[in-house]
Amino acid sequence: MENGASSYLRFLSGEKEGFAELVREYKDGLTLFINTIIRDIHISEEAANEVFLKLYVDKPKYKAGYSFKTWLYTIGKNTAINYMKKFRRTAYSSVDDLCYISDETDIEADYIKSEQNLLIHQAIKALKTEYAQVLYLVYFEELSNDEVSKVMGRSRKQVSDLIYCAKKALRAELERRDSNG
Amino acid sequence: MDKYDRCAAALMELGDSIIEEKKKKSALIRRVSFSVSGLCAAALLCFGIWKTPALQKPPEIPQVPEIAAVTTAAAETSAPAKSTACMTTAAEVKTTRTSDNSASGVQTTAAASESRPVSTHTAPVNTAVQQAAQTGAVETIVTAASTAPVQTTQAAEETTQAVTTEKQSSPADGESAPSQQESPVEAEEPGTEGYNYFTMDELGGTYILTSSIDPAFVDDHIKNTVLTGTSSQGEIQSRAAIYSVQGIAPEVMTAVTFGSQDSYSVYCNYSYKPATLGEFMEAAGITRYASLDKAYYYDLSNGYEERYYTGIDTQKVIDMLLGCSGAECYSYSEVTSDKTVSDLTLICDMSSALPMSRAFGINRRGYVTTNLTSGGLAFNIGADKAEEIIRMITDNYGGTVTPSGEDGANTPV
Repeated sequence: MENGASSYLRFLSGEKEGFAELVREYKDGLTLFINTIIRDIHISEEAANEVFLKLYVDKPKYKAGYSFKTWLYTIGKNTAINYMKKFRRTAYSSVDDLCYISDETDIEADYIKSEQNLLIHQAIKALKTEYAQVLYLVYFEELSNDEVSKVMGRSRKQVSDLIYCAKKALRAELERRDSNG
Repeated sequence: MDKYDRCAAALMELGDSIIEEKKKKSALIRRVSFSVSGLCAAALLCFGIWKTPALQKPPEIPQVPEIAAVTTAAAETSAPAKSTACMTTAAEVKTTRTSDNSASGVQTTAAASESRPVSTHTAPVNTAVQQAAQTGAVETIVTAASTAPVQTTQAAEETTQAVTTEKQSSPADGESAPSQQESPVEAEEPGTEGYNYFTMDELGGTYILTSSIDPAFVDDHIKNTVLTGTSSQGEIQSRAAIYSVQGIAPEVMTAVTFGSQDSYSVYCNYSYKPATLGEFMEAAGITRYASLDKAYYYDLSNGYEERYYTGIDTQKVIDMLLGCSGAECYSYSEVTSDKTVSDLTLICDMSSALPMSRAFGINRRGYVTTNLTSGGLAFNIGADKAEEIIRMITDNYGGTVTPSGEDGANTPV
C-alpha cells in the first residue's frame, strides 16, 4: 500500500498524524495541479485546502482501484471545477484563517527543483489548460495514462492524443522562449 | 513545526469546528424532529379518539318507553298497593296515579295520561318524566284511553275500551323494574315509523314522541328532512316533514309526518326551557288550549287526605298564572326536590287541540312545576302567589275526598 493510502487509513482510524502526513506529502502537488485549472496560485491553494478539509470532515471512502494520488487529484479537479463554476467561497472555503504556504515561499520553486524543470513548468503554464493539466500529471506527478484519464475524466485514447498535442505545443512554446532569449 | 504541520494543524482545527457545528445541527434537528413527531402522533391520536364512533357521547336522551296496546280494561288494577289517586276525564282519558302515602306525606304531582305515549310515575316524589327516567327501579304504568270517546264514569272498568300501557324501567342500576302489569298485550304501530325521539339542532332540542294530532291543528311547514331516530329495533332513518302546531312555538313541540302518511304525530321538545312562566304559557299554547278545571289537593293537616276538585274556572287560574309571568324558569335538575313536590296538582288538559293531558303542580314553597314538555320545569312564583292559587281553589270549590289504598280507587268518589 502506498504511503498516501496508508496515511489516510490511519487517519480514518483516528490517528490525526496520518492527516498531517497527507498534507505534508500532497499539499504542494495538489495545489500546483489545481493551479493548472484555476491558474491562480492563491485560489488553487485555497481549493487544495478545501480538498483536505473534505477529507478531514467528510472522511470519504477511499477505493483501492486507483492510487491514492489519483483519487486525491480527482477530488482536487472536481473541487477546482466547482470553484471555477461558483467562483465564490463555500462554507469549506472560509479558510481565511488558514496559513497560506504560497505567501511565505515559492511553491513552484520549491517543488520544481531543477532549472530545466522550472523552465518546462513555466512554459507549461503558458499552454492551454488541458495541455498544462495532462503534462503536469504525466511529467511532474508521474501518473500513468490510466491514472491521468481517471483524474481528467477522459478516455485513454483522448489522454494519449492530448499528451501528443500538449508535447507539440510545449515544444513550440520552448522554441519560442528560446528564440526570444 | 514546519509550514506543512502548521497548515495541517490549522486545517484540523477548522475541520474540528465544522464537525462540532455539524453535530450541534444534527442534534438540534433530531430534537426538533422528535418533538414534531410526538406532536403529530398526539394530534393523530386525539383526532382518532375524537372520530371514533364508539367513543362519541350519545345525546342525552331520556328513557322513551316502548308502546303496546292493551285490550283490557283491567290495566289499572295492577297499580301498586299504595296507589291512592285516580281520575277519569270526559275526553277519553283515564289516569292511573300512584303516590306514596307514607308518614312523610310526600305527594305526587303528575296526574296525567293520554291516548298516546305518556308517562305517569310511581315515584314517591314529583313524577315528571325526567325524574322517572333518573330513578332506578321505578316502573311506570300508564293507562290511556283509545281514541274512542268514553263517557265519564265512576267505574274504572267502564272508562276504557283499549288502553295503552307503557312500561318504563331505568337501566341505570342495571336491573329491570319488577313487572306490575299482567294485562294481555298486543303490539301496536305507533304510526310514526318507530321514532321515539329525534333531535333537531336548528330548534335546539331533543323531541320526544308525545301524541297524535288532528291535521287541522297542523300549521306552517318548517322543513323536510331525513330524521335519524331510535326505535326498539335500533337506529332508523326516514324522510319526514316537520310542521309547527297552531298556537304553539316549534321550540316547544312540532308535528311530524313520515313518508307518505297522512297522520301527524306531536313531538315535544324535552330540552325546552323558557326564560319565564309567561313565555312558557304563551309558547306552549296554555292560554289557547289548556283546560285547568280539575285539581288534586293533598291535605296533610289531618294525616293524609287527597281531595279532588272539578269545575275550576280555567281562565281565572290562567290569569293568576299570568300574573306571575316574570317567574324565572328552572329545570328540575336545578332545584331541589322539595320545591318540585306539589301541594296541589292542576290537570292541564290540552284535548281541545291534542289528545294530551299534563299537569301543573303548585308548591307552597313558591314553585309552579309542569311536565308539559316532558322535561320537568319549575317556575319560581313566590310562596305568596302559590298560596294564593291554592287558596283560590280549595276555598272556592268543593273538593271530594279520594280514598286511597283500594283497588279501583283511582276515580273520584
